[in-house]
Amino acid sequence: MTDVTSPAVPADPPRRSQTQLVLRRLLRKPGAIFSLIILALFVICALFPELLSPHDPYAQSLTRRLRPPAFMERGLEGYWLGTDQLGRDLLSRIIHGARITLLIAVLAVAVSGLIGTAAGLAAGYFGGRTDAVVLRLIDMQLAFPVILLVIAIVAVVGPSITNLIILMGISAWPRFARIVRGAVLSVRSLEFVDAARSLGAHNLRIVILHILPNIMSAIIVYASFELARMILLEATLSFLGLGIQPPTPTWGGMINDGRTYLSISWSVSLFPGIAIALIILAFNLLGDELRDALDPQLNHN
Amino acid sequence: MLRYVARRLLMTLPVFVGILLISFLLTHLSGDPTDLLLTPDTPDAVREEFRRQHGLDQPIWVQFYNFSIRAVQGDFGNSLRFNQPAVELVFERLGATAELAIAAMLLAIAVGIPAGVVAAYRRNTPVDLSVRAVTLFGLAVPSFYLGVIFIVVFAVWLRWLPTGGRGTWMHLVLPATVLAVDQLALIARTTRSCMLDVLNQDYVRTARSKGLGEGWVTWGHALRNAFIPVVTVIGLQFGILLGGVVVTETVFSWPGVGRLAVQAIYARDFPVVQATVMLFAVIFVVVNLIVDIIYALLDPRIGYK
Amino acid sequence: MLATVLGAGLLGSASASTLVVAQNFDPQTLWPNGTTASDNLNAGSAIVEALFWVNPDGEVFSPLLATGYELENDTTVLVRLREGVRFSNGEPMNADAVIHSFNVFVDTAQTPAYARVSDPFQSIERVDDLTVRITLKYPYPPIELALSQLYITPPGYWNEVGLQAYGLHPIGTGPFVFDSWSRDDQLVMLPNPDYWGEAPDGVTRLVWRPVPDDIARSAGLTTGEYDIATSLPVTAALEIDANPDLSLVAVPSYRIYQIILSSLEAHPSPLHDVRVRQALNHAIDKDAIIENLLFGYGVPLRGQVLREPQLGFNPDLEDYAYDPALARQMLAEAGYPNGFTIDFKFPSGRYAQDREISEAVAGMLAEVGVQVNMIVLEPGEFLRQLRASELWPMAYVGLAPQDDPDLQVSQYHSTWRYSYIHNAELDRLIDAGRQEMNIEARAAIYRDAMTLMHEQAPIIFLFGGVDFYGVSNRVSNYTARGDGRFFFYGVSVTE
Repeated sequence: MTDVTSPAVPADPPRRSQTQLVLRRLLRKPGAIFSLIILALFVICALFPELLSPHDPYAQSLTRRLRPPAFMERGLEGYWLGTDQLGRDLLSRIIHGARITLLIAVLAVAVSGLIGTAAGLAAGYFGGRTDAVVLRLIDMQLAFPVILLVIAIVAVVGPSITNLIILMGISAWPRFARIVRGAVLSVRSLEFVDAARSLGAHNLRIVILHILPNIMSAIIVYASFELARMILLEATLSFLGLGIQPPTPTWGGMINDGRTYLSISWSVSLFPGIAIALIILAFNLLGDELRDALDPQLNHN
Repeated sequence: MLRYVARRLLMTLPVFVGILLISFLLTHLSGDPTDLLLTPDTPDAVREEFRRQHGLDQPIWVQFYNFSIRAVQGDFGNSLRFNQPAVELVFERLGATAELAIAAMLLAIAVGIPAGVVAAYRRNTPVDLSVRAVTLFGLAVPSFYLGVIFIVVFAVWLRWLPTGGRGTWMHLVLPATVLAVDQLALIARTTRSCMLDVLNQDYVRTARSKGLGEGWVTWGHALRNAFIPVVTVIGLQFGILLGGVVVTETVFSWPGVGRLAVQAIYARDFPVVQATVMLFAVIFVVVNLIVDIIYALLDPRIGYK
Repeated sequence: MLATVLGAGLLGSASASTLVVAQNFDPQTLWPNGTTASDNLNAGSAIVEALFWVNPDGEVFSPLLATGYELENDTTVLVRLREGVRFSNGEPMNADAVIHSFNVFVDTAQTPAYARVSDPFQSIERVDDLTVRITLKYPYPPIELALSQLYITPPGYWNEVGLQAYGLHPIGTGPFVFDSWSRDDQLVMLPNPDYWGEAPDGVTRLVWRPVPDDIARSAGLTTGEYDIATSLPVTAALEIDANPDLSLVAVPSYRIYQIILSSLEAHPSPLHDVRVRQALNHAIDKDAIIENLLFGYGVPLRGQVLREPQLGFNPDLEDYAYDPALARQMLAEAGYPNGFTIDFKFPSGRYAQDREISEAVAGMLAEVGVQVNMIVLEPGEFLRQLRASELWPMAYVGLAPQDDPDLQVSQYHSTWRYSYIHNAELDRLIDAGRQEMNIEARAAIYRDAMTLMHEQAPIIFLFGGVDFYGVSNRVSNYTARGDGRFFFYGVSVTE
């Protein structure tokens, strides 16, 4: 099957100045600034949840469950966003949830990125038979309904954090491989690669030193979109009863648990819903803006 | 052209063999369905008889051999729950899923492409940012949650639309919208970035400088060229769309294949899971074959190699 | 404006005399003896009837296609059939039809799901056109329960189409006849014009809709798309209770929620010490769980697995009181002054609020120093582990045996596949109760068994569940049974 257009790949090897250029372009855009602020906020939550959360996210109290935010009637002082179905502080759970939600997404993308990049590099660089095999594998997995694949396996092996990361990662490698393969094809025949090859450089050396750095931007842009997708996938698995084990909070799991209480408490599902929407929006916008910023053609005028 | 199609079809053969193998292994690794289909207090002798009836007592390689022989002929055996041919159960529900998927895809295209064009045309303006934020918003809310919010708002509060089921066009609106917003963002994004690429190419600039109207430049030159990758993305999205029906059909009680598949996985109804996976794979491959052909027709430079 | 235009005709029930029932799942078969799932049975038994039924109203065993039965001795039952009943295709309902149905029923190759129910049945013989004699393999006290599950099918039609096709298009003697079925979408039945009994009043069409999502099911009831919605979550129950157009039917379920505390030799853990098992019973505040998580809709188990109206319920037993200090003290006496860490398995999506209740239990155990590793299981995997006796050392389960003390307590017999206790005295009592035909003597045996189980504490006694049904005010006299079953006898519908 054919390729999606990959982000244009810069062919010029001096990269330090380019990184600065890209950053400068990025910081001129409101969309990018918005995304970076949101992401910074959640990353801080993920790094220091103990410092930030006002309460123990696991401390239950059945007598103060399903309370609305503090400023509302029936709200409890100190419980800014209210409490969940077991009386736990919603804000603290969202803050702690940031860690596990981001951890799963980042590691799952790392797994799929590693497999996908390796496969895409091999396919694009060597071409021929390797390319054909990788392409068939990609086709096979793209044709296999991913969600069914993940459901079927998670149902058996159980939704531990490690299992979810590995499975979600494996489910997404073909998309990465396609992007990388396309990017490699566009730089493979460029002058500096030919030059390296004519100097007798080893294949692995060429790939790592010359090709990989030049397709890195494509990978980063794509990873940004993929992070958003993984957060959604984890949420969907929660809906299907296959999310992370309780009592560990994840945003997807919190939305799904809170969904049941929609009729008596809107806040339990709404706040994690807002958190998930913000971060997905941020990853997607950032990806868009990065792509624009990296595309030299678009920045001529 | 015919040779190209034949070659592409031939290339899908190993894909199907692989999918057959994976779907068999997956389902059989997921445990013995007997526990789920008979009550826990069923005597052992009866359970053994049940397993014999369904061939579950044989070594796994014998089961795979029998499975492959029959699968090639389009026979996946009888559903363990319904005692009916699995293929029949899947086909019964295919129309409903097709209706939903096509409606969602059309909706996503109808909104996504113009949105992408507008965003590209007004690049780096508030219009661009807001169009993107709005199209992304749908993607940002998990569809099982969005679906319930839609039901509460549009069915329970406003009483505009039914809560679920299949019937009139009104039953289609909510599930198709939920399914479409998933696709919308990607279609809009691809359209926007392709439009940007094309708008920056020399011939478009030339056309602009020659004084051709903006509208003509956009639609006439750019869109045709930008359309190719968009079509490809739509084809690839079909796989994700089919995944999306799993959730949407469950929330909106839509009588389709996705809901059947999830329930079959939970009940370890192997034949139905396998038949669904194969059917989804065939649809995916066919859709993408069509996309490739469209691709080849739109862009003669690509050729049939 | 749009709302009024659409709301008028298209969104409500198709017409005033159509009754729409929303259940969780589409039936797999409409032949009631094909499966034991209540969603299948509810739909199927509107068309196909049994010899007897247990009326949800007071749980009275009542005649249906039979008019009565008589025990000739401990192992022969004489059943007299109703006169003048015909199947909707004209075949007569008589001794031949019952013999045919009986033979299918006892053939476990055709009715694997009923293997345990049909086990006591040996053979059947025709006495006259309206009388049959059933011979049992052994004296069987819950004979009425078994007779109420033998569904009568027309032999001519059955032999013509076979088991599978019969399940897709059944013909029976019931108040409704099959009309059409669009799988996973809607199943339509029409009133049986020649029904032998009193047909439900005012229903010209009965429609069954499978709606898997709990919220969508209760939403559809609120908007009037459905007249009856089954297995609703407690949150929906509260909403329905507050809605003047709807009424809530809350039925105490046969499902008994408990936490397995395995003391089997193969399952080493601190739970082998009876003091630890008793301590854990004192550590759980079940009233708080019922009051808060279940909004009061739960029946606390009084230190025994039998329910209050059940034969053998022991009124003298006192519940384990919630007393964390005592629990901690008992754990210390058993050698765990600082508690211990233990695995705790529970399903996600198998029972109402299973995750939440398990989390609450874990929180309460932590209060007395018992730290649990929570292991969530997908429902299918959960059932597999239940049967394979892998749900140890601790697991949250809701067991719903049929309504007889033997079927309830047999689950704790050491030979039971998923028993997590091995106690010779308990085995002896269970065996004795199974064969005792005298009701008083039988009740006494089970009372002793309850006392023994209470002392041994093989489980944490939690609560009996409550099933919720939402019903439109158009429907009168709707009731349901604790096993999720409901019928249309006596139900009437107004405009």
